[in-house]
Amino acid sequence: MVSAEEIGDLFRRYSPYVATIGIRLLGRDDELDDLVQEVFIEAYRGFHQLRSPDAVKSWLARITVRRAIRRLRRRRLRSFFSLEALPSDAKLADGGATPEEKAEIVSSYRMIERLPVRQRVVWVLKHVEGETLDAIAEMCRCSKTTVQRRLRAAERALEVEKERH
Amino acid sequence: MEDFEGEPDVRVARLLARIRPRWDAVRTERNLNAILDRLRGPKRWRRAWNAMLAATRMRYRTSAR
Repeated sequence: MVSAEEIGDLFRRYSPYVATIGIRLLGRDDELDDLVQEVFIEAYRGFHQLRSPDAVKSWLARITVRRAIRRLRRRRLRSFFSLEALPSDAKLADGGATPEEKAEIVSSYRMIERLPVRQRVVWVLKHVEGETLDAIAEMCRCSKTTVQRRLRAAERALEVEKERH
Repeated sequence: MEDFEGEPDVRVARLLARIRPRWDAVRTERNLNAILDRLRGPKRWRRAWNAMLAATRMRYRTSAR
């Protein structure tokens, strides 16, 4: 078991990294605190499974991806029953983004929201996070072939979406 | 980034890569405290629950006599 002090050190060091992956996968800020907390609580409980201290970052990324997928599925289900609307503002963009860029970020997320959750996650990890196919396969606990298949499907769907707009 | 340049989604991907959470020191500490509370939570809750059960048992025993 790790101490509260060790959790604090781990959290201060890695929470910005977890939050960055989290916000890009979720596409909104209002669920981010909950996601980051869930990730570190799961990390705390599973700390004994960690084989090497060097693997902390990739291990946290794996937990973040798994937790984000769960949240995205829940959100999709809620939106299916019209309980949740898409985010309407561009709070996501950094301070340097122009109003046009902010609007474009929102419209891009609207397109991504329509992708199946696993395709969306793979697409974001590849094109936004810049992860390799091997790393994505490890994070999503699937084969590299599956990652490639999901990526191709996401790209095709996004092309269709773009042509529609 | 492998196979990145020249892909059709490159502009969208670059835009989304600009997304950064507003994760400052205040937010870090707030979340860390929430995590520590959640980790301590069940124990505190269990203690309160056990205290309540003990009090109920005591009251039951007293009234039975």
